[in-house]
Amino acid sequence: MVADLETIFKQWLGEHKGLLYRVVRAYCNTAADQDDLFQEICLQLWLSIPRFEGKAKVSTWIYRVALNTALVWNRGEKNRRKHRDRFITIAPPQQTADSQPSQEIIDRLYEAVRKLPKVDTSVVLMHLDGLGYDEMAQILGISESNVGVKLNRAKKQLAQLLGGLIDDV
Amino acid sequence: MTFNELQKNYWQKDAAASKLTIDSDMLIREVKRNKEAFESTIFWRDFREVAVSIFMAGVFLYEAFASKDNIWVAGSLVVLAIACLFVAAFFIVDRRLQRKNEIRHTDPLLACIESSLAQVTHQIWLLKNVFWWYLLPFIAGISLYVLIDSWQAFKVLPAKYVLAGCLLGMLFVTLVFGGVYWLNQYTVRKNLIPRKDELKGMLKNITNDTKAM
Repeated sequence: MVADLETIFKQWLGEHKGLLYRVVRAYCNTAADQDDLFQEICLQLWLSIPRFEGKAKVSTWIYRVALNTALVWNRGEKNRRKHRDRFITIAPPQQTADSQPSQEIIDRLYEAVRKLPKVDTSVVLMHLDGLGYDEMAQILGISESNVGVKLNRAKKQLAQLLGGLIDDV
Repeated sequence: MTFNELQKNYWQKDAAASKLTIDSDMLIREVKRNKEAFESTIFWRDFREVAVSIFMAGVFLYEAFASKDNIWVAGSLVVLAIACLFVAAFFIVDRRLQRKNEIRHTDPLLACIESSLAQVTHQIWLLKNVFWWYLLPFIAGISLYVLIDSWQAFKVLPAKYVLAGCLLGMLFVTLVFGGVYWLNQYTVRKNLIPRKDELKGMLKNITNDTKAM
């Protein structure tokens, strides 16, 4: 069973590392906080594996665990971690004339997303990742029509925070 | 730029997310260590709270038995033992009742926030009322013991020494238990109330649109 847990965990990490990275970056600014939150999400994911029955998509399940953890994560609590190494490394981006402005826009976007209320951050994050209203409703525990209302409000707020970068909201 | 362009051309093509390398073996080791550390913290917290109270009840009962010739002292020690058992029982019952509020990270976000809020609200209630369920039983037991001991000391010692000893004992109890009470109220003000407000804000945010529909 332990071996199975490890196999499933590695598979989930491998397939959904981008999702975890985006959640962590959307909720935390500093590398230390990102690493703490990443480890907390991984712990909760590990604990959630025996409860996964396959009724929901794996990505929906991981999203739910990651967002719940990010939302109720209390960085003020005493940190029980001893390991201070980073588990995530990002290959340095190849600096080209084209990539620099796009990286700047992505950084600006993350900065704006972090300024939203925490629940709105999760809604915008899921929308940017291309999740449908039904999946978002499952994760949030509210109706699809409410997801629409919430998303519109969050997008307007995000557009304001991005200061004219988006012109169709 | 439109929102869709931002989404498709920038967010979903963010190279950083695809260039991630995760040391999964090291991470699994750390996750297991974190899990053990978490379980150990919970175990030692419960052990500290319950086992120490039961142990102290045993000590007081033993002392009461040893002082059975002096019925008043033995009686006050029995009261102290009962106070310890009451506190242990309170911890056990409270933990069992609060299991329904345990945070499940696999629940929908709304349910997860609600259970977090219920948990914090209960912690605030516990600490705000720490005097009644934790301090008072001990204060009553210790005060009774000190008073009975002092009353009996009048027979063998000058009154001024007995009164001074009694007052010093009561002062010590007041300082120690006052300190415990202050520390608990400080935690409520400094950590728990801001946390409760934050969770209430999140709950309001997620339920506001529901009510608006």
